[in-house]
Amino acid sequence: MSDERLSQLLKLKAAEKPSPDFWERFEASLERRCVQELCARPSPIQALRENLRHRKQGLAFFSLAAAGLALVVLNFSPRSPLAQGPFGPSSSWDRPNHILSREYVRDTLSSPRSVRPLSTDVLSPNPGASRYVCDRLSGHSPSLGSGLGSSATCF
Amino acid sequence: MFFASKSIGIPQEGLGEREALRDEEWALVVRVREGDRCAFDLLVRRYRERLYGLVYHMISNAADAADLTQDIFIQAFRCIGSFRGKSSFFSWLYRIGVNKTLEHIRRHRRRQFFSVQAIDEQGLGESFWRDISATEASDKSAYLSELQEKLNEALQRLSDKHRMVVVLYEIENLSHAEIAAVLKCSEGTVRSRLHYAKEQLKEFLKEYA
Repeated sequence: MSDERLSQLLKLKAAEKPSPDFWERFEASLERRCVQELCARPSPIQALRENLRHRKQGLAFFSLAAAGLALVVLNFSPRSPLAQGPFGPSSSWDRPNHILSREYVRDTLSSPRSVRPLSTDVLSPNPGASRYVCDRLSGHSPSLGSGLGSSATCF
Repeated sequence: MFFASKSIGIPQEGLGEREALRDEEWALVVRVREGDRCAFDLLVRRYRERLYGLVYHMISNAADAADLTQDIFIQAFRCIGSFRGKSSFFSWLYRIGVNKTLEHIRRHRRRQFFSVQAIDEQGLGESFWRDISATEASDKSAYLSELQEKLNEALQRLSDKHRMVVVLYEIENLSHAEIAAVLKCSEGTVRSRLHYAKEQLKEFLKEYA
């Protein structure tokens, strides 16, 4: 069969037309449906769906918002990789939290204090000279070691 | 010529008339957006027959085609705000029509009732009637009905995308470029599908050669 013969046969399809009163009924029905469409208020879900379907900007906005929200959640989650810092959980990134933790403060306070009395020998190899200087500075205290050594603590 | 240029959607007279048509359609679209129903009626009257033809020849059911054509116009009415004028209104409307029709076919693949419509005999050329007279068929109307049914059957045996190209090119008289714009594919793809579909149709209809 040639192309011309096939085109000729297909013209028979093209010649199929609806009856003349078909378009009158069609128009009346379409008008009725258009009015219904105008009167019908879409539900919020339908409106959102239509909006998303036809507005790429809306989709991009929602994608960016979702990505931003995910970043914020990841950043504030204590177990998240972002919160542990770039060198993992054992790095110095989270040390301030460790120092301020209740356990650390409790352990520190409950441990016995190591008191080391200050010696005037540490300040000066010559005790006599030291005493002389302190006496001169305080004006009335003859002993430097008794005043400072009892209250000095070392953590 | 096989790949002869033809166009009904956009007139071939020249760029000026093409631009004038687009401007006129754009003005109608703007009026519809502003709430002018009469402008929408004008657009419907301009394209209803061709849109109905596309749907009818794709699904081969007159009643469903009428409903589906109305659905397409309502969809266009609802979404006319999204038409930006980058393509012609005709291409935009046809694209809605093609998508809706393919969706309908997918949904109702198992429920198919075919029907034929009356033939507008004036639309057929003299050569067609000459060929009919040459046949030995005693009853011409019976022969035409049989041919209509065979054509429907042959078209329905094609895949959706091949049938779409045949309907748009051979029956709706769109050019390759217009079909490519409507189907959002290359002209080469359109030509390739058309060639394959025609070869299949020739095979299905070889008894009428």
